Parts: sequence; C-alpha cells; structure tokens
Amino acid sequence: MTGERAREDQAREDRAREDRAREDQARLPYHYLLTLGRRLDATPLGPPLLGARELLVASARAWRRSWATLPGRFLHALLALALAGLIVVPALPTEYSHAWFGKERVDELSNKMRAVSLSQRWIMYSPDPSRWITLLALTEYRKDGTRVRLEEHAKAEDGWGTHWWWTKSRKDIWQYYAAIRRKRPNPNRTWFLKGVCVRETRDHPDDPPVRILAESVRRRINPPDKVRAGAPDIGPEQRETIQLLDCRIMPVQNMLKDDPARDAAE
Amino acid sequence: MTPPVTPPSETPSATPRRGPWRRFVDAALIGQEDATALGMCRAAIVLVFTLSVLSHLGAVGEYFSDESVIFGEYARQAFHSRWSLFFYIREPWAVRLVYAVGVLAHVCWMLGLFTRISSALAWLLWISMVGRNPLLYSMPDQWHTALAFVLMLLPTGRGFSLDARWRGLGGTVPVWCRRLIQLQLAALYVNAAFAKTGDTWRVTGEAIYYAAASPYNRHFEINHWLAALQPYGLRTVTFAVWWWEYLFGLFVLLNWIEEVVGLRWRSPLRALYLGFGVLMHVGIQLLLYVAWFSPLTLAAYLAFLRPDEATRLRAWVARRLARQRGAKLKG
Repeated sequence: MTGERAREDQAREDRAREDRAREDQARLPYHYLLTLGRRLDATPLGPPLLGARELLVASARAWRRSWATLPGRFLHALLALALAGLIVVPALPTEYSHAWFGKERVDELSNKMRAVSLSQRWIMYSPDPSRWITLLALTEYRKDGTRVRLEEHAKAEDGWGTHWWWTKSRKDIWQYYAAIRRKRPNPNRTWFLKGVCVRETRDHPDDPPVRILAESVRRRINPPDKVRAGAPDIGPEQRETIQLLDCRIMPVQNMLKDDPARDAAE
Repeated sequence: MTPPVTPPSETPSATPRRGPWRRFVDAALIGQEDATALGMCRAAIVLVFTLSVLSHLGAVGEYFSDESVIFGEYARQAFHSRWSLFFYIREPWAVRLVYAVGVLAHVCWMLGLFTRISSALAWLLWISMVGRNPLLYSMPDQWHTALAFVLMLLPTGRGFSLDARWRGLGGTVPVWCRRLIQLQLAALYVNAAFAKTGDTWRVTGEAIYYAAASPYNRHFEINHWLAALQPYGLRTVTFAVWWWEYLFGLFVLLNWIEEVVGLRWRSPLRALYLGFGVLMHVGIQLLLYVAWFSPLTLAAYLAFLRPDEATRLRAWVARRLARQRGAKLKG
C-alpha cells in the first residue's frame, strides 16, 4: 500500500517535472543555458565543472522567473515598444521626428540604419509617378579617334517596349541611378562611368578607352487625355550630353593599375 | 474567437488574480499566444527572400567580388556610408562561398531550423550584398531589408518549424511579435501615402496610369486601353489606392483593438481591407515589373492570421495531405 502510494507520488512528480520542462522550453535562453549545462556534464571537463553547470541551470531558472516579475514584465514591454520605435521613428515625416526627438539624434539613427541598408522612407511613385523615362546611352572614344557605341546604347534604343523579370538585370537599376539628376553632379554616375572605363579596358587591354561620353535619352509619357485624342503614348526622343569622363585622369588610372582582374589576366 | 492570451511565464493553473491593467498589457503586448501563425508568416516571407537571393545566381562574383568593375578599396570609397562583409572578403571564390552559406541559412530560416543563427546569417548576407553595391537595388529590395531585420529579431522558430518538431524548441510567442510585422506594413503604406503629395495622386487621379504606362517596367503595351479607362475606372482606383494606403494605420489599430478586446463577433474589416490589398498587389504584379515587392507584401499579410486560424489552417492542410496519401496508397 505504502509502495503503491510512493509510486503514485513519483509518477505525479514526474508528470509535474515534464510539464515544467515543457513550459521551460518556451524560454529560449533558459533552454540554451540548460542544454549547455547538460552538455558540459557529458564532457571530460564535466565533473570538475559541476558547480558551473549548476550555476548555469540556476541562472537559467532565475532568467525565466525574472520575466514574470514586475521589472521583468516592464523590461519585456519596453523591448517590444523599442522595436516598434525603431520602425515608427524613422518613418515619421522629418518635421515631426526632428521636432520631437531632435535633428541630431534622428540623423544619427538614420546614419546607423543606412550603414546596414535599413530605411523607412517609402517614396515609390511619389510625389508623382515619373512622367519622363530617362535611359543612358554611352559612347567610347578610342585613342585613334574611333567612336564605339557601348552595350548601354542598345538599351537606350530598344528599351521603350515592355519588360519582364527575365529581360531585366540589376545592372539596369544601376544604370537608372546613373541616368537621373541630369543637370546636377551625380557621384553615382561618375562611379558608373569609372566602372565602364575598367570594363572596357578589361575587354580591350590593347586598345583601352580614352573617354566615355554619357548621354541621356528621354521620352515623355503623354497624358491620358492626349492619348485618347490620338497622340502617341510616348513622346519623341530628347538626347542630351550629361557627362564626359576621361579615362586617363589619375583616379581612373589608379583604379586600372590596381585592378585585380587585369593582374590575373596578365 | 481569439484564444485567451496566456500571461508570460505563468501556467494557467498558477495564474494569480490579474487586474484590468495587467490584463490589458498581456493582451496588447507581452501575453503569450500559439506560435503557429508567426511561424507560417516566417515560412512564407523567407520563401520569397530565398527566391530573391537565388535570383543573384550567376552574377555573384560580378556584383560583389573583385570581379566587379568597382572593386576592393574603390567599392568602399564609392559606398562609404554602407557596411558589407564583402568589403573585407573580396576574392571571387570566397564571396561565392559566403553566398552559398547565406543561401543555406535562408533555407534553414525558411524551414525554421536553427532559426536564430540562420536568420542572423541570412540577414548578414543580404545587408552585405546591398551594402557592397546599393545601386544594384531599389525600393522592393529596401522592403526586403526592412522585413528581414524585423523578422530576424522575432522568435519565429517556436512554431511551424523544424526547431519545434525536431529540437523540442516549440512554445508560445509574445503577442507583440505578429503586431510588429503588422506595424511594419502600416509604416510602409502610411509613409508612402504621405509622400504621394502630387496632383496625379490627389487631384487628377492619373498616377496609376503613369505608373502602368511607363516603359521602364511595364509588362504590356496597353497604354491606349489604359487611357480609355482613365476617366471611368483608373481615376477612381487611383484615389481608392491612396486612401487605402493613408488609412492603413487606422485599420491596423482597429484590428489590434478587436484582438485585444477579444469580441466573439468578428467584423469583416480585416477581410475587406486586406482583400483590397491582395487585389491591388496582384494588379501591380500583373501590370508591372516590381521585382519581389508584391509576393513579399502578400506573404507579410500572413501576420494578420490569428493563432486559432493558423492552427485550423494547418490541421486542414494536414488532413488533406493525409487523405491524398491514403488515396494514393489505396490506388
């Protein structure tokens, strides 16, 4: 009789322990600390470090319990709200975020977020969708004076139809960034053109480019009422020189000298 | 009806008497709920991440290593405001190896295997790719980065995951986790609506016409049809889209209130609002090349799936699969 009761008590205790263990698993730090403690026990270092194992298990239990306490709950709520703040604050219009949190703090947060390519500025099709499409046409000048139309030229001629994912490449996006800001200096365009100097020198090491001429080719999307009245959907081409990069200037020559792909080819 | 939210770290039997403030904080923020809904959301979003990362296959060396036309220190000079692992790892073979590890991490993250570490590795690969040459990326990729960051911070491996199934790491998750993804969606739409200050959005209603007619990314040359539709259909749709985006934050707030209050009656608000969003994104995907923007956003909509609905959905799929398997065995 006594033995039966002891067995029942033991079974009840086991069930309770299992329940606790299942509940504990929901707390990841607890689980990791516990697993680490058990693994430590199985290694040759285990027995001497038994105290460490117990410490780990105890700290795991303390961690778990701490979440249920008032300060733990407070910290948990604070963590959730801080993460929400990381989304909302950078998404606020700057006039509000600067006024509420200070320009310096907001700029510092934005710079840190930019470093890991995070941004909450969602400006697609704003303030209006573009009514002009600008493509980039590149021409290369060689030493003997010949002019060669580069591959970007073909895109500027044929790029007015339709596009599907298999006809687009990420380089088209880069080209887009290089084509915009026609009237102002555009560092993205300068780097793009430097890259073209490198590419063309790699392709023709015996006859490298001397200059790269960048032209913008623009066409206007006609308003719907004009199209309904019979006008073509896209207006005529407007071509304009936007930059001329000399591949013999020092920064480009340094790049060409340091080019590891050229070294490998040699 | 929403299953009752369990307060953190307390078994129901041990639950002490809770005051209204405590109940509110649990229901709104730190109470626990079943992790299946969050896990499903993770699987769907990371599936799109994985496809997006895989779409770089064949160009990894050209984009991110010293094979690129902007290489080595020059890449760091050109993109000095960014951080990338590929500013330090430059050899083409090493970059490809890191990429392969990153793809594996994406697959593990999608399946929920070693979720914490795999999500961190996958995120590291993505920001390294974008940081190495941000000019190869655009708005849909910015959406990818933002969602990856939020998702990486959440305990998404506790449900609908191999971590839960094989490693015994299943459990509940705090209720704020799904709401954080919902908040990220709201930030996307509301911010976009605020930025759309031009006449084509707010006065003439021609914005969708110009977006769909642009040869930069249109799928079809149907500008004459679009122009014919403009006064009757497209104009209304443009205004509807703008208002829908503008009010998305309010919708999310109402949805939270509905969940927190836990009414037995469910308003059709969620179905109607998200239904409009689904139609809009399907329309965008049909008409325009927008990379992975629409699939990613639709996957993020799963954050609005409530835990009880997610559990029912999983049970329904499991039953269907079992029935099919049974039929196949009989056949």
